[in-house]
Amino acid sequence: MSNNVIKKEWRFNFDFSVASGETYGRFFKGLNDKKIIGNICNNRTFYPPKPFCDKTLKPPDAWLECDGAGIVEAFTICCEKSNGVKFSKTDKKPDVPYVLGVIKIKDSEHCIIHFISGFETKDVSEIADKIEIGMKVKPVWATKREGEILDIEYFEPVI
Amino acid sequence: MQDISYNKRFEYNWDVPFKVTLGESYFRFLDGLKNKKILGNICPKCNGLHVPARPFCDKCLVEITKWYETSGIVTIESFSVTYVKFLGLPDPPHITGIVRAENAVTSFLHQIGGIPYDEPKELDEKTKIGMKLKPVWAEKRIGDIQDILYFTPVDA
Amino acid sequence: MKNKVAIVSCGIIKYEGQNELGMWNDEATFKVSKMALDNVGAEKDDLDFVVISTMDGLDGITISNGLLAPAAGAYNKSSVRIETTGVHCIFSAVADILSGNSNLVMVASSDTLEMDFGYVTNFNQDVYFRGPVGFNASQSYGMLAMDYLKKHNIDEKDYARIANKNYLAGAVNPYAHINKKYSTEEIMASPYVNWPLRSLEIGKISNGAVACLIASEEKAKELTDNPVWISGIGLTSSQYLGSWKELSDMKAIKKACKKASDMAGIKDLKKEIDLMEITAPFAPFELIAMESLGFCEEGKAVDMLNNGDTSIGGTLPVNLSGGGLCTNAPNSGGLFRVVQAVKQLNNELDGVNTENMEKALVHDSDMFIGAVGGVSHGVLMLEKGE
Ligand SMILES: [Zn+2]
Repeated sequence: MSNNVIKKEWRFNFDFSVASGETYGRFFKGLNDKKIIGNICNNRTFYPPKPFCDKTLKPPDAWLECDGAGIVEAFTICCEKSNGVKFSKTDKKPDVPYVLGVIKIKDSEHCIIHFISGFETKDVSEIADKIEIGMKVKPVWATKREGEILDIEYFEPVI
Repeated sequence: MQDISYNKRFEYNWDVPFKVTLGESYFRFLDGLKNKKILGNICPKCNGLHVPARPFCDKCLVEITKWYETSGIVTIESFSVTYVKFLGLPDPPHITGIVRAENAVTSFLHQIGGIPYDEPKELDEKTKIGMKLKPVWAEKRIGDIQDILYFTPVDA
Repeated sequence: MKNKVAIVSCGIIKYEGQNELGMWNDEATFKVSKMALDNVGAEKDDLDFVVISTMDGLDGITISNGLLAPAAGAYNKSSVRIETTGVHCIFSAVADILSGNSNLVMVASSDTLEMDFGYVTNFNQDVYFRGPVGFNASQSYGMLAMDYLKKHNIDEKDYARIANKNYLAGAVNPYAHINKKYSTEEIMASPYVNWPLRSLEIGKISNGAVACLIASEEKAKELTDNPVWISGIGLTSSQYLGSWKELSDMKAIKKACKKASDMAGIKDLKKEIDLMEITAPFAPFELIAMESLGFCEEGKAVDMLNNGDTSIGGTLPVNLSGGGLCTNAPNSGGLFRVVQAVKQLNNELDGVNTENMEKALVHDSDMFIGAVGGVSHGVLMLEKGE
């Protein structure tokens, strides 16, 4: 490599705004009221709801509602702070280590990704031991809710 | 049909920094600007003069290594006068021009300034294709295309 | 699809760390494209079609076709830019050749910038459900690694062993970014990033560039004595917001592999494939992919690893290039692996002996494997021939 180099720095700094549409809108409105809205298509249940079923490509048949209890299907323990669409401006990054889990709500055909918390330790291996696949969890609601996914502060084990 | 009463608007932001170290051709061009020079380079195959200098010729797909120092005078090939404020651009009215150095086979974009006017609208007429321009240099130059503040008519 | 389309030439530079290349995308793309042409004495004018593979968030500019396509020889020619992986680009080249439109196609890709890959991959996610919790690629790797660990009762040390196997291979690959032979102990001593994955079990982002020339049968025979034939190719997309079971079961890989094998007329993968390059940006994905591709029963890939089957000199070497741990280029990684497989089939790499190896499989995926978000997988079958 030549020594004759110039370093250039720049950034993408974009603000976006997007409309949820009815399906997701119903879900987020539900969060405001501590409810999890879903829908059903050909006996396949979706929490959160889907605007279409990607197996049949048909619109779902009916709306559903539940309390958000579910099971942990997979998880990882995040040991490094990371940037995200929501974190960059507010800088409200969760303290490490924290658990990000794949959670199946009720009998949903798909999963959501959310924080799992409520362990009394910060030791990674101890946390790992405390989480079992198939473990029951339930949402812990934020006091101030704005109709967004973080209205659920995190999921905690059901004892 | 969608029931739009459920619609919720989500605002979000991307703010990602990028870094890159440029190679020799871009370095020499930008370094030239520091010294108030607009450098080009010449394709060994088609003899096309590239200003700004480029690592390779698009047309022949060969590396360009032969350097050439232009006079710095450029000609307007096309332009547009902007009358509204755009994020990241100067206050209106401002003129964005496609300018060409000497007999270069490539052109580049830059700002055109220093054309006198009473009403902004006059700029449409007063800016002319084929007009000769010279660079107006920044006081403090760092090896960036904006070391040239803008191009202005040679006889201004 | 025997003897119809071949990879006739490759251009590649040594991969480095982020922002260590000392050139921008266009220059890097030009260098490797020119190299690919020069290697077989072809000219830009011989090209009929150019396919570029990069992603906006990794290019630092949006819609970079204008900058990159001419650098690969597309000036006044048809070109497309594909925002997924290398195998998808090759698919596009093959399709254009088989349609009779083209005889010679350039496929090129580059990575030259420094950026926060975790953050950029957070943009891959929707902004309603996954974006806000900061979900990124590395975390998705952690989830899959955990799933495999718990399902098959694997020792964390096995993950370090796979990483070590890859580092040993990368150390002798002149094109790999990381050339350091990290020991299993060093890997085990590196800190957790996304439990159960440690920092030395996740690929550091690499910068570099790579190009291949893809030719019709006639053109291939005219240009080279060492064509590597594309005998099969399969692409599949997985579900977005899908079920964990289906995603962790890697149905999409299975289907892509089936398509590619059928096209290549491969009856018994285990018997017929001599070597593999798998897109594994985190160590255990190599095991998961081998099982999904059908090279062993579920949970048994670790035995193949520990027997040395997949190492240099083994019966089925996997990632002789050093894999994703040694070269983890988000734009050009797929093509990098294709080129590595081609070089291995041609026994061109000094560090490893791949003489008599005839058939290779390349698995490629966008970088969100793990992926609870939609993933595209591609499987490519290559065959040495006259
Ligand atoms: Zn030329």
